[in-house]
Amino acid sequence: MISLKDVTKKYDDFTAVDSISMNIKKGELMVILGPSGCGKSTTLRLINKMVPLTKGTIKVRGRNIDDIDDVDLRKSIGYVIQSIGLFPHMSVARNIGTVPNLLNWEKEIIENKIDEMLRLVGLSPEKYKDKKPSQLSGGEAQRVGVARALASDPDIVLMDEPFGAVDPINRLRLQREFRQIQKSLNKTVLFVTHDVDEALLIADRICIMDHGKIIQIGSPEEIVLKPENDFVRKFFKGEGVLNLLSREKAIDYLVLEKNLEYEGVGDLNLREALSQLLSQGTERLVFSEGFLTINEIIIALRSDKSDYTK
Amino acid sequence: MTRLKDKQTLIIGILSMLTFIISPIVRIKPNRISMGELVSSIELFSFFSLGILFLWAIIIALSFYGNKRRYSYQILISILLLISIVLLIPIKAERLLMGTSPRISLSQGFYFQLLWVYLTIFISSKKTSQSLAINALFILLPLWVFYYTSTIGLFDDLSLMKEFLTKKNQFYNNLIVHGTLTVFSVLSGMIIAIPLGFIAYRYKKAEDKVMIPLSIIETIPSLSLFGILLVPLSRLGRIGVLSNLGISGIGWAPAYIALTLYTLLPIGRNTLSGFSSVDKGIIEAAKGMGMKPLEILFKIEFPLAFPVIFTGIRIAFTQTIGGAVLAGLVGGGGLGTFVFLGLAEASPDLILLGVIPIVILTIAIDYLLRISGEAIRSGIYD
Repeated sequence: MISLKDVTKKYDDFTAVDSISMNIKKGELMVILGPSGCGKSTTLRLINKMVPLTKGTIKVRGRNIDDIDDVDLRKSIGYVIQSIGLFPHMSVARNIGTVPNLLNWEKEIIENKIDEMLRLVGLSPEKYKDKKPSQLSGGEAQRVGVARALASDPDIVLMDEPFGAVDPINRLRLQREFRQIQKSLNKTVLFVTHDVDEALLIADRICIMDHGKIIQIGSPEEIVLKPENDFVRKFFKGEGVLNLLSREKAIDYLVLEKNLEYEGVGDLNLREALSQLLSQGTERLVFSEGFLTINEIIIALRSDKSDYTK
Repeated sequence: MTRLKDKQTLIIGILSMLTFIISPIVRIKPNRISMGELVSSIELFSFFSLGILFLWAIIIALSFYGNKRRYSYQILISILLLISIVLLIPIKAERLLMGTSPRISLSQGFYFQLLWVYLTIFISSKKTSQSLAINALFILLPLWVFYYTSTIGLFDDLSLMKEFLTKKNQFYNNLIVHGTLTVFSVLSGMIIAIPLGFIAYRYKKAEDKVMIPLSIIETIPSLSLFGILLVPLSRLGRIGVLSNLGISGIGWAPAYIALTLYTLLPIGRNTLSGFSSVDKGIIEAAKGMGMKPLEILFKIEFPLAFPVIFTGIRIAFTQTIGGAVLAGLVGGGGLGTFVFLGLAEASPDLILLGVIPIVILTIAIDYLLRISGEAIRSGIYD
């Protein structure tokens, strides 16, 4: 869907992006992870031509972006940035309708799309449509930002630390919901962040960057369990494996047996399960559907579930 | 004992009673040039002064009273005070008039009363949430009363009125000249300074080159500016076409140019800061969504910058109404003509004939522009 080949971006003497290549497949959520100044945002902005390329080729949907008009390219790609940039003088509805309006869609279709998008991001259209951005909380504004990026139904969405300004509790909710939306709509997403937890929670594949270069690309499991070098290892502070566990639902790894006197497992994840095992000091956690021991958790880590690395 | 609710009106009330008793309210002159004699309020109004003091006492009493509606009462009483003082002066002063061309000149006591009434109305109207229509009624009611009573000749003995009556045609002409000069100077200033401010915003390197000259112009004293303009304009005035237009070293041309130059800084600076105040993230988002540069300018940047730019225009307007007085000095007409003529003839009432309409115009225009600014703002943010 998006392919970068030997892409380089130089600002005078400073090389922001240094000859990187990667392929992002349709429906994939690729996270570019790295410390500030590693060139991850620049890479993102090269793709929708917000920043001109110095060397290399970028192809979007198989076409070289040099051959596509800047404005047309940008209209075809959803874009969310950390500051969100909602237009303060327009209602939530008009904000969401921005790109459909630029594309000259019919009024009625735009109206329907606005309602649909608001519902998609979990905001009631009746309540939020006529609000001004200044009347929204940080989390709500971020949802509207996502709705705006998805309104024209682009198959590609670029996101630059979109949840960076939201408080931790809301951020986790937004990340989970966004992951679901992305899977159900089968969007191709390139997502930039410096937040390790966020990357491991939502990514299909992670691309680790430092000083403008790609250090490693792979599934979260590969990155955490087979780090390429010390830089990657240090990035996860040795706790990456715990983050991996939070991607897995406990219910998928239970040893099945009926224990009706116990409570159901719910949507407990393996990280929480491990934490319960340790805090209770027992060997097995029993739920109404089955039980879980440390063995199941280790098995979960060893199994390779990535569809994109094969 | 009721607790004091409103310190401001209490102080104003006490001060107004004091100044009413102490300060002379009018000066009775037997003719235009003689000094005449000061008359105190008590002397002039005799027992009506008790009525005036009583009304102020009510305003003071109301400031101890917590109810929200008291502000409306205070405004109403202030207007009543204004009307009664203005109407009582000519009625009660008539018996004191003597001489060849007797006249009543308003004195400090009157202006004090005017100030206190204005302050009471100003403070109270800030605290009431009454509708615009009622506010307008409060302003228009006394104006109508004064207009009506002046048509039946009540104020004919006022020195100010006498000056007005002898210079009636001149007054209206100068009023029109003053207004035209102001409007055209501000419009020209907008046409020049809004693009300049935008250039300073868009091209960082140009910012100093644009803003510093504008600031320098603002520091030139207006008299020197007329002097600077005198030479080139009188040269230009020798060219046939231009002299037919009335361009010369004196007259409307230097006044118009000087006033326009003075509007450049407030408008240009506010244009620059208006555009600069637009959040960069918003512009980044607009660009990233595929808006063309002109779409970003007209749909995003300009609407968001406009309230600040409009404030600059409002400042330029009020500044120019006052500044246009100087046109009178270089023969450009306007209300300044009366001010400088009054200074030359040592006639304070003639000066007032020029100054009072300027004050009223400034307040009125500022008020109107504030309201329309709000309306435009809420229109943009809809």
